[in-house]
Amino acid sequence: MSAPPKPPPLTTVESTETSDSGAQTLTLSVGPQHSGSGHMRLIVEVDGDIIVNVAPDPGYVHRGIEKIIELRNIIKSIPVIERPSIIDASNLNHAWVRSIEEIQGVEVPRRGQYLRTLLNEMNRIMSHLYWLSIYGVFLGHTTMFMWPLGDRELFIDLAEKLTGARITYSYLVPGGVRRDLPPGFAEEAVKRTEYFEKRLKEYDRIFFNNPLFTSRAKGIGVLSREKAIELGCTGPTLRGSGVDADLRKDEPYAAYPELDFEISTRPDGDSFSRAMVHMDEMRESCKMIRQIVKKIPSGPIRRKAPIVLPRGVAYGRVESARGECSFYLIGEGGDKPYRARYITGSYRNMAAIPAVLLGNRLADMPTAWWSIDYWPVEADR
Amino acid sequence: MSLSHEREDGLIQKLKENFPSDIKETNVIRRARLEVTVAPERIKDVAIFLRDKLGFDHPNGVSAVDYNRENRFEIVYHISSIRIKEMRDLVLDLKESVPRNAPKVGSLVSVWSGVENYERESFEMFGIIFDGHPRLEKLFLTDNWDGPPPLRKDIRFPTD
Amino acid sequence: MAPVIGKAKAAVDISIAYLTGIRHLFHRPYTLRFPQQRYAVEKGYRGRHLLHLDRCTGCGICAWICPEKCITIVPRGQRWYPQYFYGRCCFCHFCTDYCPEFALEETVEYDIAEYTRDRLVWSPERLSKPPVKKDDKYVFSVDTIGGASQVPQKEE
Repeated sequence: MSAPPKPPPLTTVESTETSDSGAQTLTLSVGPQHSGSGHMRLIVEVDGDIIVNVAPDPGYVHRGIEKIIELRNIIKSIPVIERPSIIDASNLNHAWVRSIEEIQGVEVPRRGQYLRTLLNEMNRIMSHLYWLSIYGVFLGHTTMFMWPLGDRELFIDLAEKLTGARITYSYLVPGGVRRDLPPGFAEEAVKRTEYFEKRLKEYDRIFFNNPLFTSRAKGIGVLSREKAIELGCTGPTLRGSGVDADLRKDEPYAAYPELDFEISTRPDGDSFSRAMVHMDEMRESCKMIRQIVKKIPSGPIRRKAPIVLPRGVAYGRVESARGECSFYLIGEGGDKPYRARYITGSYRNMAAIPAVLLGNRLADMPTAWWSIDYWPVEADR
Repeated sequence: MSLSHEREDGLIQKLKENFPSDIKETNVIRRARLEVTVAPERIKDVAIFLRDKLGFDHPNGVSAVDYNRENRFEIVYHISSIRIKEMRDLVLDLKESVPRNAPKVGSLVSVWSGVENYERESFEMFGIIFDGHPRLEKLFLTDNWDGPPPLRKDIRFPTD
Repeated sequence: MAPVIGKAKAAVDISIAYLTGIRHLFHRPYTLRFPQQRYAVEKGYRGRHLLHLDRCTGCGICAWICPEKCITIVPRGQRWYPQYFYGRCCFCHFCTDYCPEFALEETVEYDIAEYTRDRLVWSPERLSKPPVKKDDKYVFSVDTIGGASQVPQKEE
């Protein structure tokens, strides 16, 4: 093996520099132990309190999952694929099984597709609620931290009835799903989604209509439509900039073609738009859950799928809570993939962090930054 | 949903007309998934053509694959379209191959600015050097990592 | 005129927010005081494993499929049985799914924390004991009037 080229040394960050205007700027390191930054660091350069330069520094929770997958068979990879974002586990898992099924040519039974969609939508709500609770505590609104985490229990408890686990389900396997609906699930799901919609109205009253939030979020962290497309943003970040792109409509998979739902977009591209897109998606997901338990067909839930991955290439993608999650999977005939490229929504939205933060005040950073819904573990993989 | 590949064949046709000698290989994996292999020297022109003329304005990601038995790296740009609504389900894999002992290619950051992070990751995980990249540094690995690029196939870890 | 209207609207919105919060002072709590009040999980929950020694053939499929390599097959006289190291187990229960003899089963026992690391290694004999009945009686429930809260399980 030839010696690999040595990477150039990292540029060191000077503590003070002179900007174009001749003013002194200050470089701050936000994170990785800052409660607001998650497991990552933002190197922020401020002039006064205006942010003039941002460099995200991820990698604190990098686990090398792409290498781990290459060394494991396709079933054993399922728990590790869920780990980057355990609050959104089933959506990531769906991308994996979808790309495997594309290569294997396995058709999933209708009931299995519906159950997958059901868990995906419950997961989307849970993930958005987790995002919302962190957003609340970022903005100093402690009630908005407690309520979503409490209401998340509604769906965690439902998912526990369905799959047997609270967050890391390992529920989707190539060929279908692992368990059927338990008795009494449909009534419970309808009851809980209806109660949750009432709660969403209360969220609006206490947080989203509250001037304490709107005055801090409107017009802050603007990401224009052109910029969002060019940077390859996805998910709520893209829809918050006025693009109605959603894989559930554009490339309908699982049971989505048979469900009636709407894509919510907001044209402004500021923090408030992105936050409201999350809220609208939770409402739509509630509607979808009720539709699914109403019109779920009977039949088998799982079809036999081989444990080997035949020779072939697939690009399987799904719309996860934070945007498009995709696998570029290359099989070579064994039980392990030759290469499994794992691109998650947060990783794609990482490019938007500098674009959103530049030009804002440092005090607006939590509002703008967390509205992207960037989950560092999912981005690092 | 039709199962014909008319749209994919049309795209390949257009690419072949404009770049008759540079498109080395084309392949329709399935409906809405196609692969186009181009020569590394002309990938930028093809990329600009795809972006401006065919509407592929949305970078989905960049993958690098190590084919160590064939002694080459393959760099795959997954791109899709937002501008053309009917083409949003389509993903085009723009591929190029570089020899494994001299992994140096041109960067496409000037075409799609969103590929910056993915190219940085390919650089640190495979040691592929992207010419013209604005910030070719480590992204995920620690600053004091001085081992080989870890995602290459010949790198084995003790837990294998 | 517009700033006055804006200020008035802001005042109204803030009052609504406060009133919404105050209303919830009288809500029953979502939380449990854990060691005293215990959450009752339903059958089907993926807790620790139960091993049926009479059915197990010691084939080792559970050890092969285990993603975390937490299962070792250990000899017991003439036969072989799985031994679990719960410090590694991720409770995916692929072993239960893949067992051809249905010798493994999920149980509702979820608090298996121990003070020392070696106590986390569960021998086949320990795995074969059914879970100890604990006083689990609280469940998460939603009713239309009181909202969501943890309530004692209904007696049947």
